[in-house]
Amino acid sequence: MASFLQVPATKGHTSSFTTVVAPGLADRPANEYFVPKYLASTCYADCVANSAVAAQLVSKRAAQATGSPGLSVASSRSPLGLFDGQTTPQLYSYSDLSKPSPLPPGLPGFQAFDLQESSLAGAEDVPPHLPSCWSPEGVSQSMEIFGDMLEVKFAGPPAKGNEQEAAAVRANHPIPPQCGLFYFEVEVMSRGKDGYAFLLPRTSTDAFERDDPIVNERSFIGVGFCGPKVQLNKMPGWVSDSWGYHGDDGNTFACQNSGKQYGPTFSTNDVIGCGVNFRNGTAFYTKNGIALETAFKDLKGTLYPAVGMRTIGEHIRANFGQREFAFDIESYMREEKAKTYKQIHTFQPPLELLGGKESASADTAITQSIHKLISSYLAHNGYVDSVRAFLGDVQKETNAFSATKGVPCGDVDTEESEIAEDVEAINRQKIRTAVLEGNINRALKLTELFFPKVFEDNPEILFQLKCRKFVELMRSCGLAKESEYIDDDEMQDISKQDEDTDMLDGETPAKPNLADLLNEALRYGQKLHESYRNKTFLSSTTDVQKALNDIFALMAYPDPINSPVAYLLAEEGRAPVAEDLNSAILVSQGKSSVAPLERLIQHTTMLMRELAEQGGQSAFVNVRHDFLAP
Amino acid sequence: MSAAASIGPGANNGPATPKRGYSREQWESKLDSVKVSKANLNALVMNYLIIEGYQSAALKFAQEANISSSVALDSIDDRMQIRAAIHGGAIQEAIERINDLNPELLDTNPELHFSLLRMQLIELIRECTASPNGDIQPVLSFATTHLASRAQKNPAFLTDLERTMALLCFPRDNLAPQLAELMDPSLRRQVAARVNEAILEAQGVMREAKMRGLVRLWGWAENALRQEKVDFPSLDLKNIA
Repeated sequence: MASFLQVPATKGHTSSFTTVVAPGLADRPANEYFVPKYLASTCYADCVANSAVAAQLVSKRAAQATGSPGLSVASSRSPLGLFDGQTTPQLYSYSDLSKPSPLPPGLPGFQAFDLQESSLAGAEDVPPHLPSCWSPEGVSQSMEIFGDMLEVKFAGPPAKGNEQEAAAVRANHPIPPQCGLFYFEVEVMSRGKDGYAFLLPRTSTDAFERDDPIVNERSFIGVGFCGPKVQLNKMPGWVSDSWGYHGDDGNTFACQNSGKQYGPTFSTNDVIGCGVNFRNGTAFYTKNGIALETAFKDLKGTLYPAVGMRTIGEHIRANFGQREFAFDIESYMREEKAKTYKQIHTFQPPLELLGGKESASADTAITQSIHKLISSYLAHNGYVDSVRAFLGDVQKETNAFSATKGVPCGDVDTEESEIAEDVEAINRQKIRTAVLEGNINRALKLTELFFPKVFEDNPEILFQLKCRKFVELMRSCGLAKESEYIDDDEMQDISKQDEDTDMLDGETPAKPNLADLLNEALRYGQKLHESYRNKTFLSSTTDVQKALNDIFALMAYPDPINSPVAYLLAEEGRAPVAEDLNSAILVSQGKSSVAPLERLIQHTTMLMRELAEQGGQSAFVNVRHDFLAP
Repeated sequence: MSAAASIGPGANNGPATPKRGYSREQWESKLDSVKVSKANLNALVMNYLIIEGYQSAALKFAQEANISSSVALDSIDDRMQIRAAIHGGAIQEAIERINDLNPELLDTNPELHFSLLRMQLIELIRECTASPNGDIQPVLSFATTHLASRAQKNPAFLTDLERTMALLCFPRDNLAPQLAELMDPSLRRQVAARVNEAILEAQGVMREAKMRGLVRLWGWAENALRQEKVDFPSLDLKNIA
């Protein structure tokens, strides 16, 4: 245990962050979530990320109607001014939710989510918070909390007479078991007045002091966790429902006042880490970045991180993931995750679940299920050529078997090749193509022709298409303008001559007439405004007036393509419209708007969430992170 | 989700938690709350098409769904031809193609190389036992030249070789299950899949398509939650159109 006196080395590590000032953590609104980097691949992070998406769908839907990219609520402000403006912390935004870009090395990893709880489906689905600072409601009167609610000092009066008197503080939230593993560190800033250093006789036989140290520093500080009802005048570990590792003797205490020899003592400048593992209900500690053995087993109940103190001047600072940890918790996390997947990997799914044939192996059954999932997904989206190509590839693969004589083809699935050409899917493909080409008129006509009920059932999608049509009209104006050589003077002329539409006639016969285009766009815009001016859709989140105002802003600029609202014109805006239309058609045909593949992901996510509710190894699986991140 | 969480071994042998249950309606509304982006779904499908080598599907899909793939799609073709060769029992051709593509792959993977050679031996035996008067000589000489020396160095190889040679001694249509599985075409699939994985791994691409892991995870989770006595409607993968 040479780590015992390595204080100066680790001090350098943590002190590089001492200038970092986190603005009042406790003041943050309750709907902000902070997920430390080491938890990014857990079930918990999935819950938070999913809620963030749900909250942002509102703004996304509104944005979609106007063709603008989904704007992120979280990135529009910086809820985390943690780093003195020198660096920008990573935030999740809707568009890149599943792939947070890697952090620069050496920077603490943090993902921030800003959830508007009012827009979430139901209150019971709001994910619990992680412990993030000390709680003003859960602190002994002898203690002071300061420094962004992360630092605690023992102010007195000192524990008198009774050895058992102490002061404790707990964190603002209990640890949610969905995170699989929770880890926090406590840096001892000062061991206080009565903490001490003394010379040890070299003959000491103490396992941790035998080797080299002759100076021993101790503090009367204890680091651990406790239940919600534990009184705050005892060290963590001394009373029931509390657990702690104490700096004066290096012992651990589990719900009783007799300790068990565990690790080295600790004092000023030491960083003590505490990890609670919900896979197996154990806890371990680290000292100055080095892991100690398992400290507690069979942990139960609601657990808050906690710290206890006994003498004046004792001062600690906690790190709940705001700063980089002294211990490499991410590697530990990866190992835990690997253990989980190892077990899942060896599990043979029952064939009746997969619907495979009796004789088929599980792998073959999985392959067949995947093939069905893929062809149904492609058909669902109207990717007709892809379906055909895929079935062709699969057929080629099966043919390879039957090509050899004497090989029974028992396990070859022939059903796949028999999937009939789906006329409806082909029609949906035509409509999709029209939208993606920007030919909204054609899309409108085709939809009316093939699926006449859609617009009746879903007037919103009609509105969305009409908005897009206006955008496309403005787009052609912009493009026509760009394709002509116009210097600044002429440009002004043209904007003046907007009303006098004959001016450009004949000059550019091959190209669309700019003035005509502008006129058409204006007329269409007016019509659109007329018919939707006072309209709202009861069942929806689409803000009609806002959507109209957004797209009419295009008319305010003589050159929309180079205007601040040019993003409205982007071709990327077509895809979401095409998808919404596709879903609307499927619904009107009495089909699910969700492809079986998507259902499988949703179903599996929910299963994992249910399983992880009590911790266990499922908490180490994050479906979104592990399977969907590109 | 309750904020007051209890800790424990949970999924494994936790204390009896209050029994939960969801009607189909409740469960489906929970499912609807899980949002999956189209881009992610597309990426998942593309990942499968590329890794498992469905080239023309991957090309069409990239076009129709407007995906720019980072992996060169034409690299699929080599893997596909190798796989087709193994599926068709043309193991010699497959080995040559593998060596063209990556000359070091088989040298650095003795197990993989052995499993291919043994597959080749099985194909020779298949040929020889197909007719009553099949010539046994090619089988014996192949086994001696290519497999015997390898088997001497590795006891597991030796067992496999002995088992394979036993195929010669029994009538084709009356094999013990242990031997019958050697003649089963699914063995070709297995070998082909392992070759595919090894090539991908050598190219620095992940070995397994994510979709496979996802389906496996689903099976595991469905089973695990049932064992916790939670009531919920199972997902039916049997009747996907």
